[in-house]
Amino acid sequence: MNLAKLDRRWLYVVMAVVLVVPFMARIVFPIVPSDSARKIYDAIEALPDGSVILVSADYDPGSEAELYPMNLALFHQLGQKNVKMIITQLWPQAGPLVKDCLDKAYLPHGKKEGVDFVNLGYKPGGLILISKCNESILKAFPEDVNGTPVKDIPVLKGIESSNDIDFFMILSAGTPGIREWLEQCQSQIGKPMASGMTAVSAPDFFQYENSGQLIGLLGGLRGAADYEALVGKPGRGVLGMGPQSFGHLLIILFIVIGNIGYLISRQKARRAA
Amino acid sequence: MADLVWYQHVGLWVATLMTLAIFTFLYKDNPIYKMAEHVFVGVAAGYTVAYLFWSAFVPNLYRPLETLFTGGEIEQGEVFWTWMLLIPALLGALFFARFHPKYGWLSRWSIAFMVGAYAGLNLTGKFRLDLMLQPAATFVNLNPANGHWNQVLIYDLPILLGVLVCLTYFFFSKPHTGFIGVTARTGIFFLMAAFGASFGYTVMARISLFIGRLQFLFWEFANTYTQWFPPPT
Repeated sequence: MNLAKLDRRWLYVVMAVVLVVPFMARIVFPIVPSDSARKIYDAIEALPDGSVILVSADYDPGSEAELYPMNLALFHQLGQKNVKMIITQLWPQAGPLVKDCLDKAYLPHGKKEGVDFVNLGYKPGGLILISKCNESILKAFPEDVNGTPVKDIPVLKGIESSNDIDFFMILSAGTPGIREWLEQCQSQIGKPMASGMTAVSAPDFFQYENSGQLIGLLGGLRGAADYEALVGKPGRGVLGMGPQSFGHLLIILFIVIGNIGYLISRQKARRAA
Repeated sequence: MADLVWYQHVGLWVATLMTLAIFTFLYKDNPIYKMAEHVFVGVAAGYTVAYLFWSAFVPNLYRPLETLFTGGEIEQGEVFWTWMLLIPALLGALFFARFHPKYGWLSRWSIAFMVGAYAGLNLTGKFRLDLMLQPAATFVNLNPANGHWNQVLIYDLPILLGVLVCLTYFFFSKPHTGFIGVTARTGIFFLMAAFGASFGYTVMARISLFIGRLQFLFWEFANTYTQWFPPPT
């Protein structure tokens, strides 16, 4: 059979079967968290009581599969710590996802809105907004997501600008996202920053981890699985690694078969010539 | 059946049917896929406009100006800056001039302001982020006396060599022959390794998205009506 003429829809069918079967069977592989994920986990664990962490949820339902599990695991960890949390969003459709994560992973730890955390919601502007936060968070976000003036919110007492924040965790699906935070915040004020991001964008940011500009980096569903394992709350990420691994094996097989087919056809063409 | 109210059932069904409608594209382009695509774009645009209005326009512009004009309480030193909000308000309003053929040119003022502001901020930000801190990170310590041979051989040396040979590949002022040619060709290997990493991560991302939809279809939709596919707790 000529592989080059194979209808690509057969490949889709094979891929779907290879992903659905391990998903249904709930095949779970042991997760060994990467050094990068461990660095983020350890840095957050090392934050002293009363520290301030800013979590920017810069994603939307299109990247929910990768970033929502990270967000859940992160909120589980923060829920167990005595730190203040400020939540912002640079993407308008992140709001409902963040609220869902708060309800499922943060509030069950007995945390109170306004006392332990504040959700400042979405604001447009991207890098201009981040730059404004270096000067005054309160002016960039005059109200929280519920319309409460920020000057009346207890958790924000004593916090004027990004300089008063001890750790930045950016969950980023693209632009605006981690690049803008690195550009306008980390490189300007030098505070510790880490990021969870989609797998597509991860290779573009490893250099910032090597240079120390990022404490660590969680890339895609694998990053989410790593963090779930570290937090001790295996969920969508860990359970997704079974089908993910089988999918990767299938792609490798496709590439090998495709290259063998290519070499055979090239040899045949040479013989014919 | 899970304890959902009627509109949550409707939402669940709509999300499921839309997911399946998008998947029909894998067979071939068809009207069901087109309908789902258009609904998605329309809903996303409508949601964003409404959300922008209530999360940015009202708290950052309307309420401060309302307070100013109705004689409400404004902190000392903020009165001037509240008056200054009229400038972005005017520039924002000028965007709507695009709808009028005769006065459409007025929107160029707003666009020029935005382009200038973003270019200015980007210039300083990128300069420090990529032109200063990134090259500084290639000044690695190659002295084996510090006792970390694996660090030097596996991480530091490849970073230094990789930067040098890749920069040589993009150096076009001399023909790529002799020593420069060998160096530039070595740069291609580093570039190919980077492209391979990008491709691998992209494959992972696409598979993850499909797994995300499987989790929704089975754990949220199917489990609501059958209880056969409980999600992780």
